[in-house]
Amino acid sequence: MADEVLLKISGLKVAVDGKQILNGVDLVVNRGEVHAIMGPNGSGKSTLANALMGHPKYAITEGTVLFKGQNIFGLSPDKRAQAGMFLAFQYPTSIPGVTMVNFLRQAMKAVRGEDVPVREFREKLLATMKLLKMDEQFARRYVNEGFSGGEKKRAEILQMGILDPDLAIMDETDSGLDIDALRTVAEGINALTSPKLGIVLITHYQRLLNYITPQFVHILYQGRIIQSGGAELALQLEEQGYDPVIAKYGPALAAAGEKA
Amino acid sequence: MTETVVGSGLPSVTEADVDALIARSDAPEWLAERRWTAWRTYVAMDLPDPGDEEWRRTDVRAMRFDGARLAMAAMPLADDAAARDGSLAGQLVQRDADVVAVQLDPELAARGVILCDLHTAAREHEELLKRYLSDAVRPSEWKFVALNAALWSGGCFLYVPKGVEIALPVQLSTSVSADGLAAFPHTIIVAEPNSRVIFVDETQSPDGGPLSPQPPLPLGEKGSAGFVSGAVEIYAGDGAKVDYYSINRWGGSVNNFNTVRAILGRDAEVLTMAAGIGSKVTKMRIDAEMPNAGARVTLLGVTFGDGSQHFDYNTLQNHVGKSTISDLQFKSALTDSASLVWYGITRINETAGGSEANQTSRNLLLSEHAKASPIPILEIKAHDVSKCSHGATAGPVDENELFYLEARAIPRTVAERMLVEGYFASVVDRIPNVALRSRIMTAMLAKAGGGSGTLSYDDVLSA
Repeated sequence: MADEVLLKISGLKVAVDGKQILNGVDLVVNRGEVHAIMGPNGSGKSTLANALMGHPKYAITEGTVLFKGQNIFGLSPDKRAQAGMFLAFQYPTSIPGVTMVNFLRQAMKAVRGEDVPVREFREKLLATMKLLKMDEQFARRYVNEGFSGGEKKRAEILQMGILDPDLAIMDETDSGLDIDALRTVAEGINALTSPKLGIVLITHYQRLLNYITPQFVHILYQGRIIQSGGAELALQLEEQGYDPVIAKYGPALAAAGEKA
Repeated sequence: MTETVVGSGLPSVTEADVDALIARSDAPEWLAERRWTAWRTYVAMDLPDPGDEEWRRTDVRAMRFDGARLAMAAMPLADDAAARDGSLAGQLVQRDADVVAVQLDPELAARGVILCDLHTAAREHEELLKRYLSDAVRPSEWKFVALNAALWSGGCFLYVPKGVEIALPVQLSTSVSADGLAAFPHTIIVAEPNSRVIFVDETQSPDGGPLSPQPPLPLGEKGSAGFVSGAVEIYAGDGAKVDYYSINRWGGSVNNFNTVRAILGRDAEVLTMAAGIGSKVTKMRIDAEMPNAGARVTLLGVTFGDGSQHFDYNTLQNHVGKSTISDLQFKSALTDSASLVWYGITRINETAGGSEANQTSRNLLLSEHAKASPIPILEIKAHDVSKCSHGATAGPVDENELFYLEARAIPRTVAERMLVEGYFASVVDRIPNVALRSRIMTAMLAKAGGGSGTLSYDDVLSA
């Protein structure tokens, strides 16, 4: 199963409210791989995540995205999730009145396309919560309502564990976490990795990569991937910041943008 | 006596109806006199001016009820023994003009709890009735309240003596058997100091959906407008706790006018919930009067409107006593061309220092033709209010919430249903009684197109 192409993004351009944010992104993710996408604020990281999942606000203007060989552009977000895509949100939405337990059960049912026996659901739920060091009472609460930053991020990983996707796109899952919460979340992600799973970690900082080692690191800047490398690239960014990379590739990009 | 009212959009009731009612129920002199006084008030009063802020969006002068005739003798109840499955402390069943069944836990009766119709109350508990009838909801208030005071029949009187706590709900089931009838329900709840009672007021008429636990009603003359003018008077003594749940499942031809008013003693606690499901038009007033210190009020509302249904709620949180607390939370979901008005006043008088008030009205518009007008009014006269907040919104389902659910593989139609369900659940979950909570939720969801098949965490854990 490993080495199978899971996600193939070619020349992706995305606009938000008429403003072009992604200017031609290319990326290939195989099963079993962990890719980190790093970049300064405003480089288009969250746009990439939301566009891949099909948020209606993000209009794809050019390019293709193949997931397991299928073009996903015509697919609604729920169909993309059913196909095995998962987005861990940077800012999970709170939904008053809908309890975590019902939400997770509906989601699991939807992803499978059939009812899940309650007993099986319970076992999966309790095991995943235990893995993430979450109190069992957590499932009683309304979705993300009144959750702390750490609880929200853990709840995202809980959903990932229960939905068992083939591709997990994690949008700044490390933001807003203290060091203990970060470790718990990272351990949770590590426990969920498998040869079938491809992961795209979107992050501003290198610190999450101390816990989860990516095979590939890409730097997104002004809507394009300007440099790709191995884990060492992230360490280099940690030491030097984004400035040297931007100094090297940024002006060329700006010039290319003007030409285009 | 006075002239018969004819030739207007008013219900076709006359002074002969008052006469007949008095004769039929063998009313004591004082009660007969009260009815006549109320009738004269009714005749003398104008309908509310559509220029009046509270009547602007529901112009009662433009409405016609002249087909509505007074409901008289009740149809016999198919199953006279109302279901007693142990989930109720007592039940009173009113059909058309009469109460056809009353049941009360004998242990409660032995402790002095009274549950009966108002005619019986007039005979057997005359002093109590004299004191409480039309004291909280006065005939002079507006024309249709006066009409209720003249023409009520059957009715419900619940009296809970000092310190008596009733754990299970007491239920009033009111139904009108045919379209085109005029009905005048009147309920009095007296909770003496430190008593506790939960009261469920469920109403129904043909095409309003089955009223549990009776069989469905036969259909009457279709299309003819029904007319209901109801009054509910709640007296919560010092330290008493009263929960009042109104489940409005009137049929789609019914014009429903209702006035609910609670008067709270010192440290009394009242919770009201208005569940709006049925009726063609509902104009409902819910007032909480807090003349004494330490009283606490929770006013909840959930409404699902479809077709051309119109709901107009007027609420009042009147803080007079010191350190009184009120919290209002009304939510609606409206589809088709349904409309809703919420006009809510929070009044904190000079004498009500240290009080706390909140009011929120949220309205979910599920179609572009649905309309909601939430209007919060704050009248603050006290200088040392400890907290006062309000909020009112009307808008479509939140796109981000939908996307979040869809991103978890949940199809849009299911996601929308879950959001509507959650939207109501966050209000309904505030009901302390679990059985009632699920009953109201089920009724709301049946209207909204079925639930998404939810289970509680306990269900999941015990599977």
